[in-house]
Amino acid sequence: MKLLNLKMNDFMAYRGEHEISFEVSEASPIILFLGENGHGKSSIQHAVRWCLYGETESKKIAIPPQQLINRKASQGNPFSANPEMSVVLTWGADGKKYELSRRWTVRNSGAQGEATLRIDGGNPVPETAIPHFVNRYLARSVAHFFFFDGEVQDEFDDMVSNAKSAAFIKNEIENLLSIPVISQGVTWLKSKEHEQYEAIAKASKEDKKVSKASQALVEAEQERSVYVSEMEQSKKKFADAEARIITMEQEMRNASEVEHLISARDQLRGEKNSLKNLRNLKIEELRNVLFSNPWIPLATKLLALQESTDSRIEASRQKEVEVAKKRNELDLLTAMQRSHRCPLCGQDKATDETVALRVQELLQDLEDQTSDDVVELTTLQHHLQQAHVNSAALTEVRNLKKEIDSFGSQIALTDQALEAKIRDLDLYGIQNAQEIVMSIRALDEDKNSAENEIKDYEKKIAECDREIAVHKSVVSRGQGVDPALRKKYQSYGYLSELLGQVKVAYAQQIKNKVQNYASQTFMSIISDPKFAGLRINENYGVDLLMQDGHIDNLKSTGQGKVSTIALVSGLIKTAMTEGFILMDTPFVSLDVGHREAVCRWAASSGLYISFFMHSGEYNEEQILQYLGGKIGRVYRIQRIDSNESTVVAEQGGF
Amino acid sequence: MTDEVQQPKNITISVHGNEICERLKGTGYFEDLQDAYRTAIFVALAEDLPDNLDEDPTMKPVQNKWDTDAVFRTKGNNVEAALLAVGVTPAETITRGKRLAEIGLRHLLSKMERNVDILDVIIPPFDLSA
Repeated sequence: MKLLNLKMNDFMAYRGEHEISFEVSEASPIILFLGENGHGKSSIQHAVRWCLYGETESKKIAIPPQQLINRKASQGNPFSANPEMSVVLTWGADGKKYELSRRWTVRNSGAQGEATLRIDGGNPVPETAIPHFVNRYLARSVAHFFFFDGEVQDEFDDMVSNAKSAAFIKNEIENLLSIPVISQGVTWLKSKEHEQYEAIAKASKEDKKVSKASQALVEAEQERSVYVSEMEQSKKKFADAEARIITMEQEMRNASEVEHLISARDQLRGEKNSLKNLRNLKIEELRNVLFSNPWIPLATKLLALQESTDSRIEASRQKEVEVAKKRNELDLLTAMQRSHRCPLCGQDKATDETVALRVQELLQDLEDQTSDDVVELTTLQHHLQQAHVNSAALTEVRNLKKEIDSFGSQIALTDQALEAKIRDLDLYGIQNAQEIVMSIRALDEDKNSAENEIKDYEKKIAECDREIAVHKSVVSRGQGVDPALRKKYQSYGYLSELLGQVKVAYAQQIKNKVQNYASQTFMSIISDPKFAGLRINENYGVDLLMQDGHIDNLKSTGQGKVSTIALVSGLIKTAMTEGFILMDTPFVSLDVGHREAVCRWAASSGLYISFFMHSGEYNEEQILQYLGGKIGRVYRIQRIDSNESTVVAEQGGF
Repeated sequence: MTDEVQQPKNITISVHGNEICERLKGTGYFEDLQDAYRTAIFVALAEDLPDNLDEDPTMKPVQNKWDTDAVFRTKGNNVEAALLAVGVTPAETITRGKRLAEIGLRHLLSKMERNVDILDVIIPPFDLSA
C-alpha cells in the first residue's frame, strides 16, 4: 500500500481546501513535514485515519467529528449555515488506485457522514463494503503501527510489564500477518470434516464396529480437547512465569549497583579488619612495653630525677677530686712551713708570707666545701636502675601510641565510608534483592513444572491423535458408507491437519522475518557494539540480544524508542510490499547520534516514511546531510492564526 | 635493704579496685589485672592525686589476694624500686603503693567513664616545648 494523495477541506487546522501529495519516487521516498507544536502536523495524520476508518483518536480517546471540523468553518463563518468537512485519500495497491472520500456535514436534520470509494475511477463501491477494502490493506486494529507516535511507544513499553497488553499486541500483530485467517480456515475444515463424519456415522449406524469406533472417536476427541485446553493453561502458566522472571531479572540487574556496593562494602570491611589487626599488633607491643615499664605514667619525673642524679653524682665526684688536690697542696705547704725545706726536692726554702696566705686560702676553701652525699645519690641511682627507668622505653610507648592513634583514625574513616555504603545499600533494599532471588527460584520451579506439563500434554495429545486416526480409519471404512463421502471425510481431515501445520510454520517464518528485519534496523540505528540484535519473544515483545549471547531487557527510553522503530519497520516490511509509516515527532528521547542513525536507517529502509518534525527535533543542515538525496518532498506547516494553518510545499528541495 | 622491713606476704585489693582492673584489662592495653594495678600506682603519683582515702579500701571485702613480690618486686618491672626512687620510705612501699593503686584505679575509671582514651592518661605527652 502506498499513499498517493490527501485532500482536506475544513479539516481540523486546515480551513478550506488543502492538498498534499505523497507521491515520491523509490529513490527519494522520504517526505518531511516541518512545523511547530500545535500548528497542524498531527491534523494530517488524523485526516488520513479519519478518512480510512471514519474516526480517529488521540491518546486512545476517540475525537468526535464536531471537534474535527475547522473552528472557523463551524462557527466563524456566518454564510455557512451547514458546516462541512471532507477528506479524500488516494492510495495505490496491487496495481490499482483507490480513492476514498469521506464527508461529514451538519444539516438541520442533524449530523451526517458519508463515504465513497472508487477503484481505478470506476463506480463507487457500496458504502457497507468500504471497511472490507480498507481492512484488506490496512486493518484498523494495526493502524497505529503505521501512524507511529508516542502512543505506540507507550504500548510497547507496556508489553514489558503487562501480560494483558502483550497479549493484545500479539493478537494485533497476528491479525496484521493474517494468522487468524488461516486459523479460521483450519476451524472451517474441521467443521466440514465433522459434518462428513456425522454423515458417515449415520450411514453406518448398523455397523457395530463402526459404531464402537465412532463412540471411541468422540471420546478421544473430547479427551484431546481437554488436554489441549489444559495444555493452554500450562502454556499460560509458563509464559506468566517467564514474563515475571524477566521482570525480576531486570530488577536484579538494576541491583547490579547493589552488587558493586556489596563488594565495596566487603572491601571496606576487609580494610577495616586489617587495620584493626595492625592496630592490635601495635597494642600488643605497647602492652609488652607497659608491662616491663609500669613507671611510664611517672616517666617525666623519673627521667628528670635520673638525669639530675647522674649529673649530681658526676659533680660530686669531680668535687672530691678537687678537694683531694687541695688537701695535697695544703699538706705540702704546711710541711714547708714546718721544716723550711721543700718536701719534694729537700732544698732550703724561706717561708714567706705568700705560702702563709695560700695555706690560709686553702683552709678556707676546704672549710667552705660542702659536697652531696654520693652514697645517697648512688642509692637513688641504684633504685632507678632497678626500676629500669630509661628514656628509650618512653620514646617507644610514645611512638607506639602515635601509630595506634593513626590506625584508630584510619579505622574511623573506613567506618564512615562503610556506614555510607551500608546506607546506600539500605536505599536499594538489600533484603529485596535476596527476596527477588528467592522469587526467581520459585518462578523457575513453576516454569519448569509448566514446561514438563506441556511436554506431557503434547505426548497425550499425540497419543489421542494416533487413536483418533485409527478410529477415523475404522469409521471411514465402515460398511454401507458411500465411498465419495468417505473420501470427502478423509480429504477434509488431511486438509485441516495440513493447514494447521502450515499455520504453525507460517507463524514461525514470519516471526523470524520480522525479527531479522527488526534486528537489522536496530543494529543500523544503535551504535553500541555490545548489542547483537533484537529477539522477538513469545508475546511479540522485544528483548535485546547481547554480543555475549545473553538476553537483556530494554533499559532506557532511547533503547525502547529505537526498538519500537525497529519492530514496527520489521512488521511493516514483512506485511506489506510498499510499506509506509507516518512518524510523528520521531526524535523525542533520542540523542543526536541516534537521530542521525534513525535518518540514515530511514533513507535506506525501503519504506515510504513521512517525518513530522518540530524545530526542536531537527537542524536543517544536519537533516539534509543525514537523509542525503532521499528527500522526495518537503512541506512546511505554517500557522495563520489559532484556528487556521496552511501547508506549503517547499519549492526547489530542502 | 628492704629485706629488713617486715612486709605482708600477700596484698589485698578492694572489690571496686578489682572491677576497675578488669575493665582496664578489657581495653587491651594491659597484660593482666596486676599490670593495670601497677600502672595505677604511677598514675596516682604522676597526677599528684591526694593520698588521703578515708579508710583503707582493702580492709573491706576483697576480691583478690596477690603475692606481694609478684606485684611489687618482679624482676623487670620493679615497682618498689621506683617508689623508693621517688622518696617513699622502705617501710611504706607496700602500704603506700596499695593506697596509690586504689586511688589511681578510681582516677582511671573516672577517665574511662568520660570516654577518655586511657593511653592519653598513662603515656606522658611529648614535651612540645623541648
